[in-house]
Amino acid sequence: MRAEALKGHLDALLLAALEDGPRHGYAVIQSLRQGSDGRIDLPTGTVYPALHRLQRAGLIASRWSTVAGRRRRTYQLTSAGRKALASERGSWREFAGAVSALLEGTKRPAKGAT
Amino acid sequence: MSSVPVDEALQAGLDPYLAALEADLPGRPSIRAAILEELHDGLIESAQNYLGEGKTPPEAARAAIAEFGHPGEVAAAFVSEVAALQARKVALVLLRTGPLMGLLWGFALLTSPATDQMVLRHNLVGWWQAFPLVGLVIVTIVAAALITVAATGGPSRYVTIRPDVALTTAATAGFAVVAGDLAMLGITTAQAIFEPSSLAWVPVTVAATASLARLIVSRRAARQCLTMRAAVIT
Repeated sequence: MRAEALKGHLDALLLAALEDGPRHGYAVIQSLRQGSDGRIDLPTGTVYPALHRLQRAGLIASRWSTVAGRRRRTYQLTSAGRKALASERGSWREFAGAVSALLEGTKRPAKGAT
Repeated sequence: MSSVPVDEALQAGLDPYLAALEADLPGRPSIRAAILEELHDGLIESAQNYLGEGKTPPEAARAAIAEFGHPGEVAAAFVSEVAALQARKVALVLLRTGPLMGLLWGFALLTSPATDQMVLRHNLVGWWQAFPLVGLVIVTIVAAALITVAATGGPSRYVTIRPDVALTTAATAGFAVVAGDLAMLGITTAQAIFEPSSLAWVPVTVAATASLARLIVSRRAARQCLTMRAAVIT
């Protein structure tokens, strides 16, 4: 799945990837890749800047640590991030339900209806 | 995986890529260094996964680099974020140093023989008649810096402001600081030349030195914001 197709949903995906606990940037990429069976494979240049942007917006926080002699930046959800994720989930369910109903024809208007 | 020490051959394979990234990344050295450290860690993680699949260190380094993409494209993806971060840093520093400068100049004026009553009674004479202009400059600084901080912080969740706009407001705040410090230095210099006995020299010298230092730093920061703005627009 191309990054363009996920436009508008990237923030929600990144927040969801951090829901289970702190992760570093590459672990976020891997989590999205593995959680979607490889269908969502976002480029590095998309994920790292987006994580920085979410941090500026106060939705995630980061801290630096040293692992195997190199510095590592780890991200975690803030309370504002959890609220934003819950809100994004609600919006997504509504959107997906509406699109599914239309594409799968489960709620088409009756013939002749205006 | 992450606790495995980095193989020298693996690191040697990553070094040219990291050097190219460093050359392409925009922004101040401290911002670039933090991004590089983060990407370095990600590259090592990726490469160690490939090592676990049986690749040799040079092969693993090449595979990790291919996964991350062309350094120019990765660096370009950071431009907007670096721009926002740079604008935010400049605005925050100006907002934080403002009260200190106010205290230094306030103390200098209130302890100067000819200006203490003049300032307190709002009865400005001579060169000090230009003092209200400094008030206008302060309003400009605070407004521009607060807009920058809001545009690049929490409120950016709700209102999207382009990074070049944030850089413009940060540069405006920086140049307003330059104007304000120049005004204060000009007024006190004129006073020192024509009425040297009217000044309390020690506090005025301390305030003037701090103003001069802030003026130089602010001018450089404002110019860097404009340079970055040009990079963002192009």
